[in-house]
Amino acid sequence: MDKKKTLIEDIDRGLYDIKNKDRYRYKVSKGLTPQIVLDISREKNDPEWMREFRLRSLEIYNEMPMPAWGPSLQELDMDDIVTYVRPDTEMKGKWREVPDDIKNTFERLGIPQAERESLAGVGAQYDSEVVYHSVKEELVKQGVVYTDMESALREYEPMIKEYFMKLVTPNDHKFVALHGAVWSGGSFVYVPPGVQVEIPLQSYFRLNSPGAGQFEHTLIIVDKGAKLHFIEGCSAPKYNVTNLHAGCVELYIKEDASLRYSTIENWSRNMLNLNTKRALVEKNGSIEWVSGSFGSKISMLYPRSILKGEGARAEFSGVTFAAKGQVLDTGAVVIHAAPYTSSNINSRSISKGGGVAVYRGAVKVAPNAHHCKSLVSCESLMLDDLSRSDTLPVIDILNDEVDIGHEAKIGRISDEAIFYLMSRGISEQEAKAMIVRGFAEPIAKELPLEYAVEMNNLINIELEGTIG
Amino acid sequence: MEKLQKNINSIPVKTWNWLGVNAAILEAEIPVITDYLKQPRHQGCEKGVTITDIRLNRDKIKFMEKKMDAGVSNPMKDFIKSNQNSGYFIEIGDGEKIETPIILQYDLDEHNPTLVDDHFILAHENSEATIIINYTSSCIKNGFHSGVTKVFAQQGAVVHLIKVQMLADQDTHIDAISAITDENGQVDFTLIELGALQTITGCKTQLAGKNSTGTIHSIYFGDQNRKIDINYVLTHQARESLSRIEVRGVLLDHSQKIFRGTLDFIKGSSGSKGKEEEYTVLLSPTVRNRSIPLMLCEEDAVEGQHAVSTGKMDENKLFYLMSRGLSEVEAKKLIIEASFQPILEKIPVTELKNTISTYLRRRLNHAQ
Repeated sequence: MDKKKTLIEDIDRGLYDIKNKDRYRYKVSKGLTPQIVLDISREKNDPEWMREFRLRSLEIYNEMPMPAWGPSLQELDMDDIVTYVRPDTEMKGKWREVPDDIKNTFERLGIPQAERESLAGVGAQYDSEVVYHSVKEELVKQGVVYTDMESALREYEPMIKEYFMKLVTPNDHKFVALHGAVWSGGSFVYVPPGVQVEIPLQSYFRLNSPGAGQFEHTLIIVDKGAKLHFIEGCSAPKYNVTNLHAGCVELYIKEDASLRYSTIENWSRNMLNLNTKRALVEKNGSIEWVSGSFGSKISMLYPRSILKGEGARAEFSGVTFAAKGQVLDTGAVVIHAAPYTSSNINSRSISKGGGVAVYRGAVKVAPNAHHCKSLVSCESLMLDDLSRSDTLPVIDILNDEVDIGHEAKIGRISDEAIFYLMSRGISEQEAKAMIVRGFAEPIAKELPLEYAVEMNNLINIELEGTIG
Repeated sequence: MEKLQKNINSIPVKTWNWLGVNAAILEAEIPVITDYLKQPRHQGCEKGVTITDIRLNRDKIKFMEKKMDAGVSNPMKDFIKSNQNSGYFIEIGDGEKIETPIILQYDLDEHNPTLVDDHFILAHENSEATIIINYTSSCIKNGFHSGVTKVFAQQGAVVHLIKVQMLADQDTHIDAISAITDENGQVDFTLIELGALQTITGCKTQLAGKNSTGTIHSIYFGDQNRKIDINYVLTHQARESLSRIEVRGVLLDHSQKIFRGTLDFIKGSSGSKGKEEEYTVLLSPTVRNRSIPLMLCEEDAVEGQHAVSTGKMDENKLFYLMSRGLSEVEAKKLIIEASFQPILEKIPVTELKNTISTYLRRRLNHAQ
């Protein structure tokens, strides 16, 4: 029998690829020199220590080699990237004061509606500057701080100084060093001890200027016994010039605290997404990563959880959908640095139309981390023979009181499953669609409702093509 | 010399440097290679097999080697070529089914402390043979073995290669296998890595013929300060090829191990299936165990699977055995032997099997 291939159309990115007129009033010259970094620092009114930190990071950046592994970053020419673009608008506390074209873009992305419905606050970033920001009153009453990084640096300087880039240091890799030098914008959240933030906090990032990199910094501290769900979403308009995103996320989870960090990354298909995310979890704390990677040209994204206190837990659920022209190199890293810690990694990837999906992960168990448990499960679905799917996990264990398991599967939609569903009266097309949706389901169900809807829509649109 | 000691057992796709798993580094100095005077075989023919010095067959082999992986890094390839002090070209005739295993026994000693061997096994169409290469040593210090074995299984040929390594505690062992199969060909490797201070062993199989099969069944045993580095790569190049990697190991004391196992489904390998498993039992809190099970895939109609599991010995099993009157050490020994047994069973020579069992038991005695 002639086997029919599953042909799936590219999704209509219309909504995400709307681009506004490039409105900026200050643009630093291309390329990266100490002078540029100083300019940025002056514009930001940085305190002295931050200016020095930026310059030190720049030195590290200039000394460090490009990574010798992973996808090729040949096309990246830092001399051609304008690192800092400020939109033509000041901080706005009220929605009606935000300029119309920016507002329209956000409205099309559904942010204000989302806020009206259930979200606690929006820290939307337009280019490199926070333009719109609001926090619901009840959060303020609870003592929760949710603000942009610039304001935080002024209002909570001692705390920022204590935590800023201490978990992800500029020495980590080249793009983190770059981030340290030119970071701009981002969110700061502090949840005081024992406070349970019931409604998720959301921030939406957006790139809008050709050739502009975005280096936002997210710093979240969840104090003892507190609880938070933070949502990060990305979408960017399409441009011809290579766009670089080298953000940084630092999450501190104190004793008995828990944080869920959800992300849907949906950058336009020319974006190089080299984001660094890390969580430090203290005794009995827990971090849950929920991650969907759909957009960008190249992604290198491996959230790392450091389980520092006894009984700390980490969970990672990720789905990656790599279509034509995309290399999505994603995964998770867990460092078990204390006894009785546990981790669970569940990754699903789908590749089609020549897309490359890579799971790259590591589980490391320190010598003192006895009685720790870790389970890693990776599944890859190949929708055609043009695509590529690689699994590269590393397991490094330094003591014997452990229980570590890893399993991975790769394959296509099985004929048996199709046959079974068809024998139950379901059409071949619907059967295939059901299987793909089911494949991503374990991750989709972890996402907050509106994001799950967005992801399901995305998958549905992909599957509306000529299947069978 | 430096280049020679680096980049051995390179992983097919690199990952983070901080994990230190991208390649192995040879720790011992490479000694001056002297003659090996105890050549295990005389040349000659017997029942469908021709065994000759490999150096006499270079021209013939060159042609076949061209489409095979070198199995080792370039500096190592040159080193082996220029320092080789033993090596055979083993040719199995058309359709010959060789019942008795062909055995090459290498034994390092004070007078023959270094061995660099280079073998080529050519199994002609529809032939079958089992070849055993056994490395032992009575060197007090610094015994050295480095070598490469190439296997070419032509259409319908089945080659079972068994390599047993029980070198002395201070020896170095760098071993590589490179194999290729034609249509319906099959190469089965049983690799027993037990001795030496540092073991670096690689095995690359290209399943180049339709419906061909490649398997690796191996066991390793690390104790004291042993370092074991393993790199298995099975490449599915043709349709409906089949692969299987099964590795079982035990680590105790300060031993360290890196296992890299790669299943690579390249374009054109549709209908292929691959499965990879590694089970490690850890018996001391000071061991280091690293596993990198890779799966690379650019073909949709394939099935690939890998699983790794690491942990302490099953306490229920221990409890059961101890409740039957066994001491903890005896119970542990029994469980380890039992887990190695399915792989040791693949060795068709009872005498060798017993030698390995005795050797294992002796080492396990120390293990308590």
